[in-house]
Amino acid sequence: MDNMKDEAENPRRPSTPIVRLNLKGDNLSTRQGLRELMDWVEAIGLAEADRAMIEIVLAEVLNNVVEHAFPDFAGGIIEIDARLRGRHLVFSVFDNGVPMPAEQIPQGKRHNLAVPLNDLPEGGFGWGIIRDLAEDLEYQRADRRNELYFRIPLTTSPLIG
Amino acid sequence: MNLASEDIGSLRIVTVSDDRIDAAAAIEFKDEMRRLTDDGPPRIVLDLANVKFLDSSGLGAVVAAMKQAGPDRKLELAGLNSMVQNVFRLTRMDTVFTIHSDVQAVTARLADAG
Repeated sequence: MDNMKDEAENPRRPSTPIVRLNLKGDNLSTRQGLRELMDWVEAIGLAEADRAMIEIVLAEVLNNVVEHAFPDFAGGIIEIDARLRGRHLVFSVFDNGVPMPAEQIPQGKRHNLAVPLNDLPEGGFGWGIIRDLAEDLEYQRADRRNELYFRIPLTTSPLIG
Repeated sequence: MNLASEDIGSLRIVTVSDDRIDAAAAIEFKDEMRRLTDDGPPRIVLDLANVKFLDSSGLGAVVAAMKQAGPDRKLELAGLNSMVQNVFRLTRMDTVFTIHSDVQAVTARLADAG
């Protein structure tokens, strides 16, 4: 499809689908915010497999913010910006919490699971999941806030035939 | 967090009614599971057929439940949808649990064993 021709014929065709959400930094608020994000993801017509990937990545990102950026902090705010660009859903997630340790995204643990029952891990899975499913993961600290950027590849995109 | 429990011989089936086991629900899930596995049959099958979404908090809570059940009881899983299976697979925790396609697969075998 010739994008320029399409826009000339349909000047009211919507430009890049974008959603912006502000959430409080607690588990119930992030659950609600994630639901709103997923409503938008469904409304713009993404496939079920893609929706499942988006939901788990965002859940892990938000859980990390709540758990680590706001250890004792009642005023935590998280901003999510999501926009559809070609075959990717591109995210920016900002929070006003404490910086990431060493201002770097954790690698993600590779747990040894050949251990006795009582030594099995109950946590530390989040960054591994995020790194497996998201691309172009970047972090920076700017203006006293954490800024996390990443994008999720889509199997189908409503913007492309 | 709504969990229902039914005993069939030496098997206890615990059914999760909620459709999410996430960070907001994890602690309550663990507490409820502790209540349901404090005593009772040595084999517990956790039916997750209603669960549409489980994140790493939910996964951790299921692991905690398995530990809580103790070395004399076995916690198995059933009815994982593709999303939930994916989380177990990505974390390789599918190698740690016995996972059945659904609860019927477990109870049918019991009936055969008569």
